[in-house]
Amino acid sequence: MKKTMTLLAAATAALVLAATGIALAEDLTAFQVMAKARANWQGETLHALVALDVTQGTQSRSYRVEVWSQGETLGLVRFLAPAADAGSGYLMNGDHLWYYAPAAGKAVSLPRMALSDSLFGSGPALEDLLQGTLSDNYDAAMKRDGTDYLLTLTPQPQAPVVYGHLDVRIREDFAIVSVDYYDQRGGILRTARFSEYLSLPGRIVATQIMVEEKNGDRSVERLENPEFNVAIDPKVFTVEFLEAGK
Amino acid sequence: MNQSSVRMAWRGLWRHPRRTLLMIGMVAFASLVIILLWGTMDGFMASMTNSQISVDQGSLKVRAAGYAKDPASEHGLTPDALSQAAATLERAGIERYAPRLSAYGMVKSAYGATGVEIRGIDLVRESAVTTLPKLVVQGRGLEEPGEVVLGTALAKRLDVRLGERVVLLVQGERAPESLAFSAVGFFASGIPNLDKSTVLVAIDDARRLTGWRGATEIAVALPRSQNADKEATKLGGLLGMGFDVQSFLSLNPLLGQVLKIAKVEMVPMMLILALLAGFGVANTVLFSVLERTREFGVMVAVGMSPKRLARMVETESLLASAVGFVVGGAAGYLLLFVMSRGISIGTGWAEMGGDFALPTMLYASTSGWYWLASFSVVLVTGLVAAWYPARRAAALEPVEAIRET
Repeated sequence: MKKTMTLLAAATAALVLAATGIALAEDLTAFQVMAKARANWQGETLHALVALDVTQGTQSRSYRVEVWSQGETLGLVRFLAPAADAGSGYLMNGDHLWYYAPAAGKAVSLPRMALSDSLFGSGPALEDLLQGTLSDNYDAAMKRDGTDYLLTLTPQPQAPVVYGHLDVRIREDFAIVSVDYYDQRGGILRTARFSEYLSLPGRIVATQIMVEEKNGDRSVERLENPEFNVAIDPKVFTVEFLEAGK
Repeated sequence: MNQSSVRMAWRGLWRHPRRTLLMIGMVAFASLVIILLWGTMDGFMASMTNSQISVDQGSLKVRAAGYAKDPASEHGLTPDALSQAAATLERAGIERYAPRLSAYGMVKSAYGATGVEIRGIDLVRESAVTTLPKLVVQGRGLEEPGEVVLGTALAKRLDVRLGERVVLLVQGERAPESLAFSAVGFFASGIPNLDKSTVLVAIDDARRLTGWRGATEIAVALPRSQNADKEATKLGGLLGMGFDVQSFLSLNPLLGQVLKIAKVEMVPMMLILALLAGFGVANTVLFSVLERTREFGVMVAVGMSPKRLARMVETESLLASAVGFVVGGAAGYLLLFVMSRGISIGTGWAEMGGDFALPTMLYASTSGWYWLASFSVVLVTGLVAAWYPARRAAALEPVEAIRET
């Protein structure tokens, strides 16, 4: 009897906990869902190798870069391949941005607004690689589609974004599935599809992101061996380390 | 020269109408070309400078000393300097001035991005200095913070429609700043460089973007009759050290040099035209003298002095040149009058103007002093060209001249 009661109590507790969990998930606001998705995507620190395949028109190019980032103010991207670009890279340290090319021999300072430029004319911008895609410049509305969350993000009035709105699909485990970028006329500008998920302690990360532009240009990013919340030597975020890429 | 000589010369001219018309035509053509050249050159240069001054730049600029060497917003006029300069301008009787805060940055739309001059203007004062805020062809001008007006060419390039949001980015004083603005209007200034690379915002928005609370310059408008360079020197003296006051032409030395060279180049061109007309007239008058040898021989035989004969030949040449001068001058001024209504050079030529910011419409000038330039043709053709033929006529031996067939 006692054993049965214990089992019943445990089952009830489990059910209550499960129900509470579902209720908690149901009670999440759009902002909370977005925050969890961002937390999934961004850690305190990140170190990863990234393979990039960029297709523009009929031309395709492949790159391999190594990325270090810490918070939203420190980041370094170093090109490993192809040989023509190997050793070059970008360093973000606070308000300062530098670019280094071995041929130049010295890092040059760039205006910080270069962060928002696409690295290859289309596809990911530097800030996308260093800071992730979703920023906090949006108001969010949410609905459920099965177990997925569908968020519609609308830029806040003064937010420095040019999109009309973003449609974001997020799994119930807060992994991002897709982001559709719309212009202010309701036309789709760009789509980003996340796949090849990797389970890591405390997060689920998409290791493949395919971004397709309205004009057909495409870029595919593949994260290799991403490490989140690892200790990164502060020397990494220095001009000397950037210039050591030769 | 007396009345009878003039009458005789006039009758002599029209005894050979074709030859006379040829002489008149040569002088008329030279006069017309000279007037046209001066009028179009003067007018077009004035169009270039006036369009820039009235549409974009103003007659003068007051800036902080040293700003020209490093034109970043943080080297501009501080709020105190701005107040001091404004007070000085008002004491000097200048009411048409407007502060501006300009910075180079980027404008982004959903379809592209490009570098631009972000010009923060005083919404009340700017219209008294330049016409740019009023040259909105679609939408409306700036009324409130958070609004931007773009050049039509720029809006087309970035596919921006009225009411859409664009983002302006600028490297601010301390940190880069980016803000969203609503495109409320598109302007067409007639200066292609301006239309494709300038956006206008309220000066307070420019201050938020750059983090600079003063201004980069004060643009001043002066009456056209006022000498801008002299006024700049005077204002510079009143403002003292720490300020730099320059006129439009001194800020654009290359354009100033081009204007000077163009005027200087006109003089040899005018002389060449006068010489060409002169040779033509001299040739015709000489031929006329040779053809009328017998006639002149009879005149001398019946008592006309060689000196008077020479004067008659010169008078004929002068009269023909005078008629040519009047005809050519009138035709030249008529053409200038038509061209003063405006000639479209199209955006192709205007864009080739580069730093000169050529407007798309150029206007000829109808200044009265071009008569003087054309009169130089009359002097050369009338007097100098007839000199040799007149001497030849005066040296005639009457008996031999009468015998000539």
